[in-house]
Amino acid sequence: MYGNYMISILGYYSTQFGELWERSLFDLVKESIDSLLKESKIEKKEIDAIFFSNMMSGILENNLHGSSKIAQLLNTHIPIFRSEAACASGGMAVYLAVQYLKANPGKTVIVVGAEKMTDFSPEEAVEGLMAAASGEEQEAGLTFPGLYALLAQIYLNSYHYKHENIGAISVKNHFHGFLNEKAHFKRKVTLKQVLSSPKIASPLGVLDCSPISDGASAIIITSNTKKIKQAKRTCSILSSEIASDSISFMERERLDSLTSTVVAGNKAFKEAGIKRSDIRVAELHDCFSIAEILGMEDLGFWKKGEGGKRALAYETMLGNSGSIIVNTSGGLKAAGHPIGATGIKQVGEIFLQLTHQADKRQVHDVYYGLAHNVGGSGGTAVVTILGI
Amino acid sequence: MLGKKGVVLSWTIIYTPSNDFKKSAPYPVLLAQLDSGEKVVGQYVGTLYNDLKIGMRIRTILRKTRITHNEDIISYGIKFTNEI
Repeated sequence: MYGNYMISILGYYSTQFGELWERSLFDLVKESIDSLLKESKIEKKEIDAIFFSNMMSGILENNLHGSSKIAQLLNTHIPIFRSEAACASGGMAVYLAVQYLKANPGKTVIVVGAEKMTDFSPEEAVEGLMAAASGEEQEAGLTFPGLYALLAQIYLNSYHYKHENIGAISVKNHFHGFLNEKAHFKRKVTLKQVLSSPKIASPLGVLDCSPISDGASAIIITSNTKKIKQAKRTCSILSSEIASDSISFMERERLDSLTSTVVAGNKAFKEAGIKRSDIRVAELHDCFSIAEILGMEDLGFWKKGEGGKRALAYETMLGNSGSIIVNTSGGLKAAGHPIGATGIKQVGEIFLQLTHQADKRQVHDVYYGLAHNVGGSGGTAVVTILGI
Repeated sequence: MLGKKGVVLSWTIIYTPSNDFKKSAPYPVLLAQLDSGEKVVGQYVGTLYNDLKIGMRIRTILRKTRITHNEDIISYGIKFTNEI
């Protein structure tokens, strides 16, 4: 609730995530917007603005000004904004849309995110992604798996854990992805497979890392009271908060925590007016297995240093007795990580959970959920809390 | 920046690099804290490649860092080797 009016989600649609070689970036954008409007029974003319999230098209395809491309696809003249904050582009687009609706009561917007990555070699994709890291880190030959490997080594060393304590996150998220028809990887993996998977940046193996994926996701958000009342399935955005940090983690005080997550999380809980224990379902930014553990601790769900033990106990897996179930979509790890789409898919998954549309992945008795989206190695973090 | 001593805060070995570093892979990268307190990242070129650990002492040296194209200016920068 913002002041006297609510900001609510009216619908969500994701394309299949995966290697979609026959589809272009804007094929995916168009599918997600057209299907979203159709499924939500909302006319194109009811949309007042669009927020578009994408990171890599400028680097990989020499393709910027995507907002105007969307205007062409939809034959519209409404304002369209683009958000870029590396892997937090989607979360930032949601945040900006919420700000727009706070300033414009009675309006309805689409937030759409998309990425096309699998047409390029791993080296090209790695180089493009590293545009979101500091010059010193690029010059050292670091990669994003490398940056998170440095964080993982510090975490494992500080709290006396082994690779299995972080690798268990991938086992859980692949189990969830197995239940998600739209996931890039609809298959389970064992802890043994994670630990013996080929190294990308030691200690992280390929099964500790989210994949390079194509895909698009879109949601409709409104501050129009009449539309909210008419909607069959809806949930409210109670808060959406964003925080920044230095692009280079050499400049940061702590190396076993992402301060941007801590700051955005504290602000989001304060604004929503709920407790950590009210959250029963969450989508966390598991770009690498270690990242979900740092996220759980930085958001205050687990105490600092406890994460390795609790991850290996699979407390946050569907069917287990933990108080919170995490990454029912399969997370970035198994659902896939088309950069621009990820932050929107996370909010969409929580919408599905709160409106009981999550099918085999449904968590029971859920009233509140949280989405956590990180850009770079923690340079940007967005936390969005939803409720019914 | 040359000849500065310090300690390893973290390390990794990169197996999947970007194009400019493809020829060197796999290669180790360290996050080190110099005795001055400054934190630096760079590749490790010493003899303890298979025995890297947090807390190990290092010193900074000048080395070629990346090769973009054969006719480009050669980039030099800081790397690390064993302290002694």
